[in-house]
Amino acid sequence: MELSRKLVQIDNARDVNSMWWIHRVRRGVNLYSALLKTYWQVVMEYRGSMIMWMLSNIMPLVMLLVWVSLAKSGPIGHYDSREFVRYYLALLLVRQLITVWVVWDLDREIRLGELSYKLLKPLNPIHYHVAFNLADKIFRLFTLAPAVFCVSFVIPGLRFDMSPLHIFCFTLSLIFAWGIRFLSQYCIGLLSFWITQSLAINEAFYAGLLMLGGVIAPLDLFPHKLALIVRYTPFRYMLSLPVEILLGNVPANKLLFQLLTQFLWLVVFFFSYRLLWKKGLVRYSAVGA
Amino acid sequence: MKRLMKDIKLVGLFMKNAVLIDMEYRAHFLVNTLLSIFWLCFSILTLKLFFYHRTSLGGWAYEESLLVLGLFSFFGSFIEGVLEPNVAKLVEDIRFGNFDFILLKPVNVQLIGTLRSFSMKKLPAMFGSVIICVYALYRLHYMPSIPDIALFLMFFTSGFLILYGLWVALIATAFWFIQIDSIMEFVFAVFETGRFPITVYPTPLRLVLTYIVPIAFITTFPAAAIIGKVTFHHACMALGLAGIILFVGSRFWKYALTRYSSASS
Repeated sequence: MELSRKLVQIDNARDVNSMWWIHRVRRGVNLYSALLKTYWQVVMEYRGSMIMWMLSNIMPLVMLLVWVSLAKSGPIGHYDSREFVRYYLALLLVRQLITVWVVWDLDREIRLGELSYKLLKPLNPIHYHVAFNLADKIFRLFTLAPAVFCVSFVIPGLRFDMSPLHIFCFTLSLIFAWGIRFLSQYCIGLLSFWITQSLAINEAFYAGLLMLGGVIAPLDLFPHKLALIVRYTPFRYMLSLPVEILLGNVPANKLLFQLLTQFLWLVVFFFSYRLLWKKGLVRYSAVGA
Repeated sequence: MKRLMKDIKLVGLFMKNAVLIDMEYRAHFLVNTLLSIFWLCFSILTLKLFFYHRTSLGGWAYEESLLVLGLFSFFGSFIEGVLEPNVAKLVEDIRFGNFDFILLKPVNVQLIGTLRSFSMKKLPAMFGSVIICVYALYRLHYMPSIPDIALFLMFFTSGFLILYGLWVALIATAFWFIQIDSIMEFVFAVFETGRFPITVYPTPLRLVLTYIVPIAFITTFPAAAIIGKVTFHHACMALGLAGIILFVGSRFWKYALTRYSSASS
């Protein structure tokens, strides 16, 4: 009798435990569907501006034209004109899908004290930003898909490997890249708890992305010694890795290692975010408080 | 003439105000100076990477391209430091109807609308760009002759005027769209093409960048002038073009003004 009661108790406890997990997932799904709906409307309201923002992504095209003009007198590394076109079109696509602007919002919220309102709600403010960014990504996917389809239809040479494993690896690395970019920018934004110039730090970080992330040039065109170092900076894992995977330029034996390194950077930025958020909140004093 | 003197005096006053405001934010100025140096290094490294693989960029040697780059970052800083700060002000005035008060003032409305505020933070970048140009000339061992300098000044002046004329037309679109920051972003992106000598681009784009969006006249031509690569004929064309753009820009501004209907009216 005693024993059976105990067993039931344990069973119940286990049940509650698993229920707790399901409950949490359900709450997350509900939350995100609500947030996504809200932010989708915001995105739709600014659709004109959104398209303009997307079109402003011209720098890779300028670089492409310069490289193509340089490649007229023979291939550079293993890149000929066609390979440059492939590279930069893939880069344009990936860059659209990793765009993050959270640092400006965060900087403003902390500096002007708008963060206080969000702190009153029983939800970590990061979720608002993540949802806003995801809504924007859905919009971009809808606008980009026809463009990508048309381009690959017209120019067969631009078609990418469509095997499920390849697509899976690319998607995984794209999500990681977005995560690194988002969390790193979030960390820089959180620095606003201490300093007023976090936007300047972000600008320097952005220059790093342009230089070492593969916008200025594919990373294998860097001088050899430099290329070795460049391969380990976080910038590569925010942009050029998914591009190279999409193009099939990463050999199979190195793929796993690269993805792991990428994941490691994601973890590093996640814990930096946890730390900065915890310490920063203690320091936070809203304007007028 | 009297009106022109008055306008110049007005811009001088605006500038003085801007300096006074900026003096209050010294840390901001310092950080921006560091950032400017950083971006200049970034630009030079980009160029170096191209020349790591090749010896010429669209027929331009490294030092010559450096000259174009110097001019690009000079005018880029001019946009960011002098032209851009006015956009936010104008947009705010239009949104809240404060533009009424500007219209009431007995001064040149275009001037007050487009050249009211300046930011000193880009001054170090402009200074750095000049250093790059001088260094490039030094490396070229080229001593510009008096005609070279005269030609350069003609192009340089027309560069300013073209930029300002285009800017006036652009900023005037705020009377329709009000929020124009995404348009501004797009324009910045297009200006990026001025970073390299125009000859590097394929012919159709080159024509567009010379005659339709004359960015070539802002960065490539002045650089070509100082090393004696263009003729007097080109310089006259540049000044003529500047005149046309300035005229069209300010006509468009006047037309846009008629769209202004204040707030809540």
